[in-house]
Amino acid sequence: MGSSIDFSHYLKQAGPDLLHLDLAIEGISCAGCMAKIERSLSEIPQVTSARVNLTDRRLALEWKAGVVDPSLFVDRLAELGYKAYPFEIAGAEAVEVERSRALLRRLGVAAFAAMNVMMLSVPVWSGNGSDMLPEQRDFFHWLSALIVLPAAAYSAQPFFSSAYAALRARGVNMDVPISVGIALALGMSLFETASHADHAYFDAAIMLIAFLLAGRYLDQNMRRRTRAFAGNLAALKAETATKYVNEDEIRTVPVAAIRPGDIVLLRPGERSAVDGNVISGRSEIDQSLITGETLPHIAVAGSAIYAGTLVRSGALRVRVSAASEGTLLSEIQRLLENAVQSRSRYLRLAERTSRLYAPVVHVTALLTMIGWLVAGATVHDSIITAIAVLIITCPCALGLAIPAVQTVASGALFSSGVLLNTGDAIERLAEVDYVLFDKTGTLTLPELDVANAASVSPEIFEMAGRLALSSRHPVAAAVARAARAKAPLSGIEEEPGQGVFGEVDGVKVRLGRPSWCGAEEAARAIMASDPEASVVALRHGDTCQVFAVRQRLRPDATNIIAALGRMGLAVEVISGDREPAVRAAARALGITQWRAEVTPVDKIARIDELSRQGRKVLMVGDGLNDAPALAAAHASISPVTATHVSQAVADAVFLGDQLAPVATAVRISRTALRLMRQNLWLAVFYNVLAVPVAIAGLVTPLIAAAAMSGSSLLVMLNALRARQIRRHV
Amino acid sequence: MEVLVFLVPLAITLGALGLVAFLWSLRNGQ
Repeated sequence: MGSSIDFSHYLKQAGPDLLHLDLAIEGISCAGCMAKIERSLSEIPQVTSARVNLTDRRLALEWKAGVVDPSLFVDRLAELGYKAYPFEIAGAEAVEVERSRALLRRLGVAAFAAMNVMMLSVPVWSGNGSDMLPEQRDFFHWLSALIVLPAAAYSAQPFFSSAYAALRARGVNMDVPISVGIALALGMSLFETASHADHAYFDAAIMLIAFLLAGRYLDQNMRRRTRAFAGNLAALKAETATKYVNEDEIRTVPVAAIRPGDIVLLRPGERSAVDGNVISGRSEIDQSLITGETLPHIAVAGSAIYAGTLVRSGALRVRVSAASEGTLLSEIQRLLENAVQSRSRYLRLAERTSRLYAPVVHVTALLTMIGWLVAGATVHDSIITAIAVLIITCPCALGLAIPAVQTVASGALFSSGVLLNTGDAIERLAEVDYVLFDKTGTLTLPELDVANAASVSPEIFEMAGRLALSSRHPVAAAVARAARAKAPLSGIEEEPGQGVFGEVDGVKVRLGRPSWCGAEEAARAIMASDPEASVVALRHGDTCQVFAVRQRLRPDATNIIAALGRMGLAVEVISGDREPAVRAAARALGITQWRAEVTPVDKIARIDELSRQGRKVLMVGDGLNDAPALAAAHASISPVTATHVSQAVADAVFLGDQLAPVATAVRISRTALRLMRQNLWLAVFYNVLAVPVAIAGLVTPLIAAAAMSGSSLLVMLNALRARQIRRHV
Repeated sequence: MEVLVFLVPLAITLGALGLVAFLWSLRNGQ
């Protein structure tokens, strides 16, 4: 039986005889690394192009098909000190990338046009009414029109199409006043130029488009980046499955290449990456990631296995089923769909603002026109003044107010170990006042740990650790990890289902079941005091030691729970595990509110109950059984070790062993929301100053341009303050 | 003022050149 990594799933045909591969790379931090990698890979003669993307930490490779094996590249990168994992750009991410490219192109066109038109406008502003001849002014206006009209027709398309879509759905969004403003400003300017008037607003219109596109691009870029990080995360986990092809061949393949109906092998210590049914084999399985329960079950032929299940003792052969077939999964799926639907009713801050904003602006413009008509102005002058009102109120600062803060805040979140899944996560995280924690894998670390390590002598512990390296059993693996063992002992054999044994310096040693090592007494004593623990015994000659292995609370959990309390958040534990385990964890953390043996349906019911009381719930959980609750809660966070389903519905994912990112996420989001509100008020304040001037008919293109760039700059600078939050955490 | 006849097209050409360079770099995957 041979086993090799299969790259074929990731290879793409880039041209005749050209192959393309994308790799996610761990450890790139600077431009120097980038040059080093590109140079080193280009030295391989068949490679035609090697490009590193520093922001996404990715490498795109192209080479002539035939001789070179892709694993050569991975090896070469390993020599340089970088771990590389093949990955596939998800469909959703490819769409985001394309959108963000298109926006950047439009932004470029608008910005260049704006610069050139500004250059033409400055002489008009400074020359108007003094030494400029009317013919020259007209000439400059026509030139501006020549640049602006095609540029605007191209770069303002996103606004026009979005406004059109909103109007067709009988709604109003921010793009409706924007589109009306731009169209009217251009139309009026053209008319005024043709009739040799003093003022034309081409410069204001194109500058407006450029600023708004900048806001749009920031927003889109944030979305693209979160997608890219999520994609890298999936690749860095390097999830592979051992596919059983036939008697003589098994193959290690990426999970994405596994199809329903395939047979995969699960060996002891392995976590299943697929759903399916056991065909043959018998093993203890740990389903804590799925149900929250920490006690192991027995799987035999016919048992259902879900992705995330840890195989503990024996090997299993599993036939992969489509994701929705299992009873538990279809139940979860149904709950999820309901929950996601109810969440989509949430209105973002930007949407709420624009609902209020569009009618106010349009009514103001209309009233201005009517007012001037009543006051006896000509129809032409009244319309011009009304349009000036529309131009000056166009939500330039408003369009930047929220995306600018979001971009800065998501950067701050990322550097403290929190990745955002959704764009409005910041707003929702900032509003929460009640936190529901799952226990298993969320408050506790997902990996097992030795609980009585302090009472074991260092020599015995070290020996147990080195012995444990020869076993694949998860409990043994926990002992090896806790003892920080590096060097396995030689001549160790495994007794299936019992443990490992061998000889050290002429003394017989065994590590395994207490009954097999003659340590039942000690084991029973530990089980009595700590029913949650799994036990493993070491016999060394006549001495005997029993290790209690169990899930441990995250190291900073107590502090963070206290910190959340100080931030005014109520905390509750809600777990699918049995009562004693949940009670013990809650007591250790000083949490008075807890519920045990909760089903996914009950978790949602609890969230509904809390929201009826007016609480905004933050759900923190990792298991498959938490997924519906994660989707139903006002906001949700998952650890990076969570199941795929949970991670996909959570608003944010946090990295590392610490619980601190949860508190940090709430804190940064609160500051960010405050800055967003401040920015909105700044924009309103600007309008309060500018609109009376516009209504009075005193706005010149110069004032419009200065007001727009001034307010945009103010909002951007205010957004940058979100970077300072990090220091206070 | 006749100098404008040269300067204006020159300025616009330079602007357009910048734009073309920007789009070119975008297309080449930077």
